[in-house]
Amino acid sequence: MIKKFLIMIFTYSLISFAQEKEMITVIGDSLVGKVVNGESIREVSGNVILTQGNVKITCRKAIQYLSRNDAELIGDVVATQDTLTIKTERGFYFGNLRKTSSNSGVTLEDKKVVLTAMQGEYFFDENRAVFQTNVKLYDTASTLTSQKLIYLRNEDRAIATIDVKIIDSVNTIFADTVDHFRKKQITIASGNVVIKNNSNNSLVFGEHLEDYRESKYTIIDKLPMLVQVDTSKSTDSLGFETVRLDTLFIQCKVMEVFREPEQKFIATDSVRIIRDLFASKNDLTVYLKDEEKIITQKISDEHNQPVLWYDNSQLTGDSITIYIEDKKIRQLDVDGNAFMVSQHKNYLNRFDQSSASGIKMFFNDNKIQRAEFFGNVYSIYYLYEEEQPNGLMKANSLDAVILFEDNEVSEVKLYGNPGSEYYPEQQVAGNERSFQLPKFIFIENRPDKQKMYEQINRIKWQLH
Amino acid sequence: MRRILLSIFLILTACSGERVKPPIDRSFQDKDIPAQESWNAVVTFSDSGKIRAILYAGHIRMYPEKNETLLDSSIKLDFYDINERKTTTLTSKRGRVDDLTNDLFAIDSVVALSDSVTITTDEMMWRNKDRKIVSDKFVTILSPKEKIQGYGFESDQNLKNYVIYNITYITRRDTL
Repeated sequence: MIKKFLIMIFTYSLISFAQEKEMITVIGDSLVGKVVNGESIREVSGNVILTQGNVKITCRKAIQYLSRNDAELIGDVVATQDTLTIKTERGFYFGNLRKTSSNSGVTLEDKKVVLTAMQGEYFFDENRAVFQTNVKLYDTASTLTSQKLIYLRNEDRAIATIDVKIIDSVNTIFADTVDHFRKKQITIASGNVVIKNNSNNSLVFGEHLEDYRESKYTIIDKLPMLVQVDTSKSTDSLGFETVRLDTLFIQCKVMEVFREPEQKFIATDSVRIIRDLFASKNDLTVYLKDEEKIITQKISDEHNQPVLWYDNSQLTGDSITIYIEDKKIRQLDVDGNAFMVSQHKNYLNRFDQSSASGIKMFFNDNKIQRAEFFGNVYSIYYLYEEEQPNGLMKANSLDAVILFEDNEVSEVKLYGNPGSEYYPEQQVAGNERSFQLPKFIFIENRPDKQKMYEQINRIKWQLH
Repeated sequence: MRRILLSIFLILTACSGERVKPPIDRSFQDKDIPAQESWNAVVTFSDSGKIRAILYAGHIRMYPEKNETLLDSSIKLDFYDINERKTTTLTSKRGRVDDLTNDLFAIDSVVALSDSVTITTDEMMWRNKDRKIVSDKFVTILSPKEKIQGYGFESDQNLKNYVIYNITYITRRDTL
């Protein structure tokens, strides 16, 4: 009983203390009390200092409307609460809500961020700011602009909406909505998300992005697409140098970027890649930037093999690794169930085919120079005499080497129990379909650049 | 024995040589004497036939030469609005009326009370010409929702519209 009584006394003391803190004290040079249209008004002028608990507001003049429980604050308004400072030229203080508001341009500083906008509201009890119209949030690492922003000081969190743009030292992010947790360094962006990397001229599009700056990890898990605008130089046989636009498109269902310990880019599920004459479809693409290596692979037995197209050639295998040097393909390795098909540019039903356990292809200036086949090599390649078809050769060996000139087969070398059969043209013409290796498949639905553009155009990022 | 006493008396009177007079206070002047004096007085102030204020005083002394009337023994002044409705009551321990201007000075423990406001100060003046209540002393204004303190005060006699200087204003959260 005594314990209950003591608790009651303690509780009452706390309530009394809380009520004491509710008192508002105003100091000023003069006060005019008047009744206008039945409403009691207090006008405090000159060196006005208004305090309520830990909230302190200074201004040149304060007009209090008693029945409405609010006050208009005029001239050099500065509101402070512990480390928070809000400045404006003219604003309001709403007593019941313990909030300030301003439509005259407002600046908030709290030792963590600087927030400015044309309009702003601050709720002192909740430590919550709602800023609107030309909002700018300056952080140590980035600047965020938007048309509306809710800043939750206790959570170190900013929720920005409408035309959101975040600029940091490397990237510019555009989005409809951004939820930024400052302390945890987590950013979640939604709706028309675009990340523009100024250093490598790349754009990443998507509908939902999560960035974990501390762990240096970013994921885009809704309609992601990467576009990197680049140019490539090539020199023809006469020595003329040609510069061409060489834009890379990567589309998939989930895109992840790891920045540490190594720079790694992973595209997962329905991955489609296009770059100039090169295209690919696969379920997993990993780009290791430090090693300048791209790996695409089959993710399980139930999934399809990755497919790679270059010009009129198609390549499949359980795993394909591309080595890059100076932005140009240097080497390509196919491991497991490798199969290469090349369609003749004039005789579209004639396909050179090679299968092996593995293939290594070597390039120079983005042109294939040599292909090495390992393990149970089977091949069918058509022969031509001055561009006229001249039968085909079926061959098998343990290993093989094919040499190319201008992306065309120039020589075939077989190693290890080689065997070959020649089929004259009269047996071949019209029977091309019967000359197919068991694993032959020519995939028609190659990734389409036009469809990629259509997806980009759905995003209204250009409006930013 | 009777002869001895008579001799002593004769000797004493012979030594002084002057007649004995009672002391006179020369500082006292006629004007300190009120021309009129009344107790438990009630004075009604009216304008155009309408009551504007009623003064109650325990003791009134009128000094025509000095053109002033002194009030003491508790004074009370009720103010009335144009509809002859009582709006404000002013009380103090003492008071003074300037008979030339009809201004009333309330002195010592002054309290002005309207329906929602209480004003306390050491000295306050009701200025007849504009019917305003003014003070140049420390003033405290109290209402159920606020407390205003400052130096110097000017208000209408209904205590609705006023000015106070160098203020400290304390109000509850729900009034601001």
